[in-house]
Amino acid sequence: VNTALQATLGELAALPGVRAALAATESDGLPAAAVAAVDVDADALAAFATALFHRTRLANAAAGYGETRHLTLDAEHGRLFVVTTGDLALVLLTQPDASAGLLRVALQRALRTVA
Amino acid sequence: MEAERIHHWMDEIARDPASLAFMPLVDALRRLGRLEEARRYALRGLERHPHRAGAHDALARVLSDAGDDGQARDEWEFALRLDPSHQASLRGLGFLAWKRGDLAAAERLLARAQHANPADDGLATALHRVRAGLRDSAGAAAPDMPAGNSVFTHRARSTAAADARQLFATLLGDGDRTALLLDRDGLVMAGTYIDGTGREVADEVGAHLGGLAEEATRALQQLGLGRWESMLAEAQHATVALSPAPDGAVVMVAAARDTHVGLVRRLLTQARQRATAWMGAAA
Repeated sequence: VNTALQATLGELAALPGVRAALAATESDGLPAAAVAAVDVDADALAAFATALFHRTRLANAAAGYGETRHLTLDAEHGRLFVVTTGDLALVLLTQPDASAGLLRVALQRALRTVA
Repeated sequence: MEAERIHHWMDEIARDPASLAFMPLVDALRRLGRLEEARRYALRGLERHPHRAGAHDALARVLSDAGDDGQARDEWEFALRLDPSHQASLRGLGFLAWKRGDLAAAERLLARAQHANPADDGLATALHRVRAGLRDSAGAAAPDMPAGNSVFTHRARSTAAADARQLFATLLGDGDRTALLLDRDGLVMAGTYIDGTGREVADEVGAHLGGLAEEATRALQQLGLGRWESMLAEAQHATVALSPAPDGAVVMVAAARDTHVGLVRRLLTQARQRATAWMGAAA
């Protein structure tokens, strides 16, 4: 695994409220690298996050909205953030009260680094 | 699949610069949001085929998607000078009229477009929506309803359908916003979704989002995250927000990209409340 990618994920995982940071291939939903709390199923998280992003991307393309750049899902016990570059998706799982603005900026910066 | 077709059309144009493959290519690139590439191919095609209405229409769609309504209008008007019954250009101009609030002009243009292709269901929906708007603004039935049109002869049924399509209209205001209520299979229950060319794309969007609620619920349970509450996707030209509604349904709101995310979230909350009340009343 690319050490720069692993280091980037480590920095993301150290942000307040983050429970998992992982990189996955969008086409098959497999995690390429992950830094996650022990109670997080990184494989399931990667599969779900990439599938959700893929479905949303198709819907946005059908509506003529162009490329999908960022996805946030709010759930009862956590928040999910997904961004992609090419076939690589970066995924963050956080506490429900994590700062969306801060994490959004961090993810965009990380995306530029790994791209 | 789409990538293969795009490469195929590009290859064909590279082999034969006079090929008409530029028209489907421009449209495919436009749908993918690759507007600059689409514009280049459209201009190149127009150089070869300046007297073909479809070439002007291809460029107009790209310009419209890029927000240049003035230039798009010029191209569609030019296309109509070449072919007065060119359906796509009538439709495009009708949509521009609708966007600027000129419902009477929109109705005239869309009716001409429908006359050119009566089998276009999306166009029928758009025309119906415009006529409903005209009726609302006149406070009475539109005087120029075409006789014998089944949509209007079955008044009660069409009123219920129109009510469903208009469910979110007063929430959305005049901005570039739209909202849909989709059932668990992605079928449209209420709202409308008309894209930048005036095409009704609600069914297509719904098909891609069908089953989303169930999938999200199942996956989030597996991840120990509880119920899903909302989702926000930022795309090149729009911000799209979704939330679950009763019975596995999904409410979706989309707004132009320059709309504040906070406002989109607020619209979503209001749309969800309205959809929940409407579903309760309709049950």
